[in-house]
Amino acid sequence: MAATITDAEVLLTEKETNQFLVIWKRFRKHRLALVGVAVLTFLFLFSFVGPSLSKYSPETQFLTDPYGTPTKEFPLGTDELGRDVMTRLMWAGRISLVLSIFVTFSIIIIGIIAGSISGYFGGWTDTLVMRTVDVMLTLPTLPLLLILSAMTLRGGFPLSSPEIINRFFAWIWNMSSDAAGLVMVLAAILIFFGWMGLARLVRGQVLSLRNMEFADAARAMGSSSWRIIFRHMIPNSLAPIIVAATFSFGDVIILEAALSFLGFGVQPPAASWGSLLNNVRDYMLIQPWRAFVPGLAIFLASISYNFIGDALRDALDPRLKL
Amino acid sequence: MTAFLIRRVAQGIFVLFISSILVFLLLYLAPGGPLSEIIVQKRMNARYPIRQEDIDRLEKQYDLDLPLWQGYTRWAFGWPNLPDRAERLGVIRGDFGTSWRISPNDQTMDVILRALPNTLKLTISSVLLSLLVGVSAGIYSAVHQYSKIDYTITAATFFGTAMPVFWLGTMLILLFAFKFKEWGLPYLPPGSVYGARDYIIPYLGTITANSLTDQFLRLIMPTITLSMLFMAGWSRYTRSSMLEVLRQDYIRAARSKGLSERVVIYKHALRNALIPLVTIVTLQLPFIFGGAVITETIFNWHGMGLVFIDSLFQSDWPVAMTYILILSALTVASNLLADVLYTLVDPRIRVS
Repeated sequence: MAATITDAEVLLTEKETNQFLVIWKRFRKHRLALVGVAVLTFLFLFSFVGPSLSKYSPETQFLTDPYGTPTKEFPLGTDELGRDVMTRLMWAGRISLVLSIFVTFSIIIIGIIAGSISGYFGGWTDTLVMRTVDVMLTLPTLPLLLILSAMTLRGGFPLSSPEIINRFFAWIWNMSSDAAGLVMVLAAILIFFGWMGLARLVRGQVLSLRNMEFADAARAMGSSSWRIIFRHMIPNSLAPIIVAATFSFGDVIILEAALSFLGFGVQPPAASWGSLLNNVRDYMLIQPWRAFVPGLAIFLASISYNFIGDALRDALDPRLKL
Repeated sequence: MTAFLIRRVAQGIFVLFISSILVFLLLYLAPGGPLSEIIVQKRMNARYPIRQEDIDRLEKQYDLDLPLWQGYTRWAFGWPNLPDRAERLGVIRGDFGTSWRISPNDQTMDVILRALPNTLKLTISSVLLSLLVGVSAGIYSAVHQYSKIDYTITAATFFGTAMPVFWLGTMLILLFAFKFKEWGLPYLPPGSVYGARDYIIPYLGTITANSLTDQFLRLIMPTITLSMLFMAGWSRYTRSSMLEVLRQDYIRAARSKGLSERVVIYKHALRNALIPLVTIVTLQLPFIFGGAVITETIFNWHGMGLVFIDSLFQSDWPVAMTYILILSALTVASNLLADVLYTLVDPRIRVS
């Protein structure tokens, strides 16, 4: 209770309070979320700065020294082909983390567009979008994801992402643009099955905002529907969207890892944390740490996002504000 | 209610129709497929070369040479019946086709249903464990809100929801199957539904293969792995639902009547708090079945999920399609059941 009162005092005494400062003050109270931020920062540094500190490339093979135990030279040993496990873990992290960001942002954009149009215009648009959402939510996601990824394994996905996007991600991941294209197909599949929840959320928000006074005011001043949607509806529903997105980062990391673990996700020589875990299955008994570490990374990333999402929900909830 | 049911059933049939088209297109549009290996072999000029006639014969047997729409209508509706091919009844008359690779010429439904008992064993034990642990942890958490144990349980649920299933399973095997064996402690068998030969476990003695003890020991780790996610979710759900109920006036009324805390919590609060949980559990049943794919792969558990994964690796499309249809039907049915249960357990809710 005391904490709320100080919050109130801050809000009342200071003339102009920075909203971000208020949110940050509330966010800070969630200790586990702060730990989550630290862990995620570490994971990002590990995957993005780490490779340039590492002496090896992820494909360098030390053929004389496969199945190496952890030493000073190779902190996590070497794999069955004599590659440095630590370096591979860093590059794999890049794929897992970047993929989850890309997929989540795409999901947000599609969800916002579908949800706001459906909620604002109502009528048959609403029916069409929401029935599509219903049907897609009823489809068995994981098995269909597996079938879709199995298709790409056979090299025959009828669609491919634009070359420029492939090039961009190929540059981030340091791989050929064809290989990046394959990962992008996986991303497209995850997006295709991931946007429905957010669309529902945004629609609900827009439905409740649509008939508020400020929306009426905007309409009375002659704003177009699109202007109202983009300038009024969406900014006002950002809080739950941000929270949902934070949880989505963690979900996507786990889902991608599950597909890769089953052998249908990221394909060698590229590796994500999930596929590292898949590769090690045959060598698990002689090199158990190789199974432990990638899984730990997935778990830490996912739980950090969960904690941060939880704290953001508390921090951004407008009902808690004065 | 009747109109509502009819509408929902119609909607369900539509969903099944869509997913049948989706899965058919996905599988048949992509290149490669069940004959790709044979075609490669033909090119390799082996000692006994594969002749074009053989490939054509197989293509005809599998209906792969037909136009896409005809392939679909023959599979789904058994129409049209072509003169020189086997008659098909179609999915709508219960003919799901025959398996190509996994168990050639067997009905796909039989291939999958043969694995059903194992999947049921795993899912039922997981649901029971999740309910037992999840609900009791949730109740305890709610009744002792903000206590140390409440915080511990809440933290544990976070760990449970963020835990990658495949990692948990792998680590359990490493620790309890292999490390425990190394250390001479009573260990658990690492996988499979039942053992092929007897084995000795320290302190427990000899375990006869396929005995009840054997089957029970083998069930422990997969059950824990599969339950973790649902346990955590259901415990959180029970906690919040219970907290809400405990704030109600009728709970205060029950307490002021002088009823013991036990009766208040178990008779008045819990029964009302469990109402929303019934729906959640029903809605998540298909996810447990679908999620069993991963658990079954890790533990080499011969259930439906493993058959499905096999069918994908071996391009046995009729089996894969049947599995998807079964899961879709299960999802549709559980959605419907959840709606009906919702109105049954809570008379305040009316369907519209």
